[in-house]
Amino acid sequence: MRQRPESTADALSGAMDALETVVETHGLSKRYGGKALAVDRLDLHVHRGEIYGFLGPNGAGKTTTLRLLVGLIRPSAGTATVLGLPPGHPEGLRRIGCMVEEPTFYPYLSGRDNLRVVARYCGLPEARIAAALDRVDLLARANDRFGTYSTGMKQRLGVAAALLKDPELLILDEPTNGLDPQGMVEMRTMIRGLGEEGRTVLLSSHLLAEVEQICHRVGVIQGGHLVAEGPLQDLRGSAGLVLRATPEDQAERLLRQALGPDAVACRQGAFELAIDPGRSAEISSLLARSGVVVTELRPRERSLEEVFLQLTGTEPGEAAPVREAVS
Amino acid sequence: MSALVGSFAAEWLKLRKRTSTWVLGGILVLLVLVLEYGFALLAITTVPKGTHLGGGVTLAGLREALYPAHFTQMTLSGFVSGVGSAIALILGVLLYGSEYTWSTLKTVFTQRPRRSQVLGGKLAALALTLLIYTLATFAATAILSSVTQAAYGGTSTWPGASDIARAVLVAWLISGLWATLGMVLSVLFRQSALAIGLGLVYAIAVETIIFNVLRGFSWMQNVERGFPGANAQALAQSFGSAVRGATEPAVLVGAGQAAAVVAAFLVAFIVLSALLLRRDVT
Repeated sequence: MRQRPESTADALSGAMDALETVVETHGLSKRYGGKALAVDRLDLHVHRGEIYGFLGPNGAGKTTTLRLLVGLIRPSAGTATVLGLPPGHPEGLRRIGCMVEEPTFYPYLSGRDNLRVVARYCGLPEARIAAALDRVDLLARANDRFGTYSTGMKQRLGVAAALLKDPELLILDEPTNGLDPQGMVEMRTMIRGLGEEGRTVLLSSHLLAEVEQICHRVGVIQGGHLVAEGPLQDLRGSAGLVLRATPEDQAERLLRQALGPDAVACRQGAFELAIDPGRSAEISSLLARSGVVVTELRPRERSLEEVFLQLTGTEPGEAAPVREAVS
Repeated sequence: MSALVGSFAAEWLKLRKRTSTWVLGGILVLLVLVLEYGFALLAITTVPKGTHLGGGVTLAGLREALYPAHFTQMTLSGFVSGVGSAIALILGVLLYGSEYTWSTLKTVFTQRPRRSQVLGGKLAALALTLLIYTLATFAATAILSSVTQAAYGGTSTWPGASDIARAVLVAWLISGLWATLGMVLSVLFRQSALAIGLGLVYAIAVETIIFNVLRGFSWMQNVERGFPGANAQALAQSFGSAVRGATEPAVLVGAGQAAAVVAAFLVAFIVLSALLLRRDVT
């Protein structure tokens, strides 16, 4: 394993560890009937105030995990605490706003009446309903029956219901599903806003760009296993430089002399340098002084998509090092 | 507001705003009026005087049965008939069956109340709805019986207030029995269609047709004593026959025992529902 330099991500990670853990699971497993494990010994940690992206391909076990966390289903093994309480505890549920899978409401009731039902279950004043509807821009259609809503409007009503409790923790399962591009942008802006208000958000998604835009930390699940967990920057791997130069052999010799052999890797005609990207000017001038022409020099940062594809086995054999780096 | 009270308030809002709740109630009232009064009035007005209708029933006896003095027996007869049990059963099925159909149970169970408190709220809302059904049916039959007597002349004689109250409670209990059976079936099968189908088959085919066909066998009475519908019928029959001179059916069990058996089944259905509701919500 390559030693990573100290970074802001490390500092953030350390600070997060010191923070209160809002969602914590240990060896959490769920088996439906005699079938394979839907969730397999999951150890998840969501800290207070962060937006945590729960990432995984379809069928990876994301929704099952969320169902376990809100007490809809019981684990086959392992433990979980949500806001310091067992999943499904009334006191915990009172402080959680959640939307697991698609939002489900009563089709014969209006959007407003559906929120009245939720408010009554929670013992909340109905005065909050208008504000919640306004926040998701649904006030104008509040008196229409839920059955007549578009997918996007249903999704927004689901978020309004989740917000009604003024929750400390929001558990949102693919909240941008079914939304048009404009709706997606609005939803992401709203989720970011919720995070800025100090709420903890556990966001399940299979949309990498979404997670990349919104989340502070990410957990990647595949086949019921958590294959990685950590800040986005850590997941992407350590920072570095990508360099192309001619002549290549001379460039390689100079770089290995200056940076050490372990810090230089050559892939497909490009050098990957495991150094602080801030040293790019120094490297450029070193090579130029020796008559080496630098044709490309840029910071090296893997996209979350690359990381995700590796972790979920699309590029077998490369997942393990990333996991090591993260954990 | 406690979780149980909040749960009741939410359930009542859902039931109150649902059209089918009031359509079912309207059908119950209408069918009791038609089956208990409509056909009898048709017979009185079309069958020649002096005709014996069988089973010791005369036209005069039938007409008197329609008067206010017997409206409690007439209404109870409607409640223990297939109509009353079917309507109550369907309402009970809708209580949870629709939650499974719409997948709204996960929305309900991720709010504040425990599953048992949700069940408590649902039962309270169901009980209130059934009480409204019962009172509306008794009110409708009381009005029609009064109108009938006024049409045929004579002064109205009403049952005592305690008898009316007892009849209302019995009708409420019997409809509660069928509604909770519907509820437990819908929770068991996690849907409405199968629960309604099997519930109606049981209520109409088993408790009504099969028992009536086999009633001639002496051992059948012992079997019937253990069944909810037969006890509900025995409870209603404890008020006596509305039709003067009609052949009284054999008394299966006393009113006290019948009420106890009906109540025991009702409680058993609730407990079974509570246990089944502990299952995973997927």
